[in-house]
Amino acid sequence: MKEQHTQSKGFEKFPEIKKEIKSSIGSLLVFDTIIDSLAIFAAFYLIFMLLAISPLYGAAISAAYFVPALYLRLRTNKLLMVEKKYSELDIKLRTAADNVGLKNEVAEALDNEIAQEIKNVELSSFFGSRKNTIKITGIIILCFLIVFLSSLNTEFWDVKLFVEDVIKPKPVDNNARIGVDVQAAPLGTEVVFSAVTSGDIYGESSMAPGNVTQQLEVDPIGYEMNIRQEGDSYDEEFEDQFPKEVFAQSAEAHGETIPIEKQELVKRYFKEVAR
Amino acid sequence: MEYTAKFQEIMKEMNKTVIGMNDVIEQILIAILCDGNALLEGYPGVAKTLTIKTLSQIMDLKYSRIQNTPDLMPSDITGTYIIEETGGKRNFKFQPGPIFSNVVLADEINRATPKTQSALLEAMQEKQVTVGNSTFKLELPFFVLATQNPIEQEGTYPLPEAQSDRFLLKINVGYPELEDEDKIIEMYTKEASVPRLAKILTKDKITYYQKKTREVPVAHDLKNRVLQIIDATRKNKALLQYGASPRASINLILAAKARALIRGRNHVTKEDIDTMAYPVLRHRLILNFEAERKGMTTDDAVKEIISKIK
Repeated sequence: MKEQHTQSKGFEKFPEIKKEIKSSIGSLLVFDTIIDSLAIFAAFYLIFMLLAISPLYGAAISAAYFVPALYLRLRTNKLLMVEKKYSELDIKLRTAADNVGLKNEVAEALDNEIAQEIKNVELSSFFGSRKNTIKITGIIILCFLIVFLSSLNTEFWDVKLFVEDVIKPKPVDNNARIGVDVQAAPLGTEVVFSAVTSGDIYGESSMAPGNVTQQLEVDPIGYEMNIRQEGDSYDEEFEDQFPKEVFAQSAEAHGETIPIEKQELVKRYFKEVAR
Repeated sequence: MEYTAKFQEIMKEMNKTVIGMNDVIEQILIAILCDGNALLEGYPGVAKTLTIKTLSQIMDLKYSRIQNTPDLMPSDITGTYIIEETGGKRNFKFQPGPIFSNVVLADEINRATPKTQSALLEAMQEKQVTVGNSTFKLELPFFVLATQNPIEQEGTYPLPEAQSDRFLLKINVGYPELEDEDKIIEMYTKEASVPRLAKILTKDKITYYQKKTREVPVAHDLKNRVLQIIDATRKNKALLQYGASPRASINLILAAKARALIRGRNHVTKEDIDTMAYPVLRHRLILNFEAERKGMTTDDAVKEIISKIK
């Protein structure tokens, strides 16, 4: 019987194997997390763009996902991941990892066994090519959508306006009066018109009476310029003689200057004329 | 692997006389590799004694058999001092009992009185015997393989908990499968000759394998699993009155290691732990009244505990 006479090596090869497993699978996990973060960024960019919110908030959400996701993924037991994929390595890697300092014949035999079986492990089996292809395709589609919708300046719903409406309700001005009867006011009375702020860019609807519908069309891509349609520039001739004095004539305050004793006469005159 | 080939050889040799009891043989081998003792329980005529006897023949070890009866005295087991006359001088001389062997078959152990049963205690645990003022070391390897049957409880002395805890495993020996029983009939009704058994395991080899068993590495999460199982036996008051001791934890790990080695593995698996939990724990747990009323066994309790541990 050949018994143990020489010093057993124990888990001599395992630390190298473990290092390789950790770095290889670790880099795959980083790649996976980056892909996920990009997908999240693209999706939120699109959503925020349609809601008229700064799309850069998508980057914040993506970063908020990336950091903890990467941390958690890198913390996962990579040896366990290999064991789950390769049943022949079941518990062997964890056993070796937990007893790496052990030096005996059985440990050495297990070390050799692992070194032999680890050769069958393919890194591609952890890649999840189908899943990643779907993710990358999704990112590409989202990018196209972002570019296309940006050119149309599309916004489904302006969240900012909604938020302003909800958070900052329309101020109620009790002094504001619309349609003051100027004639009813006593002569010499100064009528003051207060500005009414509605918060609506189109203004108060009652301020625009009438039945004429104005057709306004804003060309969203009007900023584009066709150089061919533009004519040549011409020189505008300006007078080089400037007035000596430039002033604004103050508005005269007009009032009725009919003497009181003549007022009755004037009144009668207009009544006669009116008949 | 060397171990696997050797254990397969043992199985093959054992199957010359014992059929359909590979699980039992494996468990006895586990007890031997763990340097522990085993208690075999089964109905009469299921080849408990034959299995142990055959195994002891395969191993090149000193073997003795103690047939327990109520009138068996402790000194019948341990040995006693006798007066010896040499040259006209009378001296006390120690006459070793059957315990001074490597393999002791304590047949129908529950028929012996507690006093006699306790004589085995020290030998099983300490591997030594104290007679009078003298303590005698037993030759290693030493293990007690005891048998008992679950029926005919009248006039028997069930093993006290302290004593049953000293058995590494309690192995249940059931009836053979019909196919196996057919082979048994065929074997024992045709030829009168007893098959010749080869000595496969020597004393040194057994000691070597015992050392190897302890060298088998165990992953931390499997150690935790053992601890969780043992802890659950103590906390599961819905089923159990008393749980297992730390000795059970040690024995469960050791038994799992030995099973792994026998099965040609250099590492312990979850399956080793779960499988060995039954023979390691079934004689260490005491069911409460409610569980007994429901007709549960300790195996049912172990099964329930294992199923709850992830």
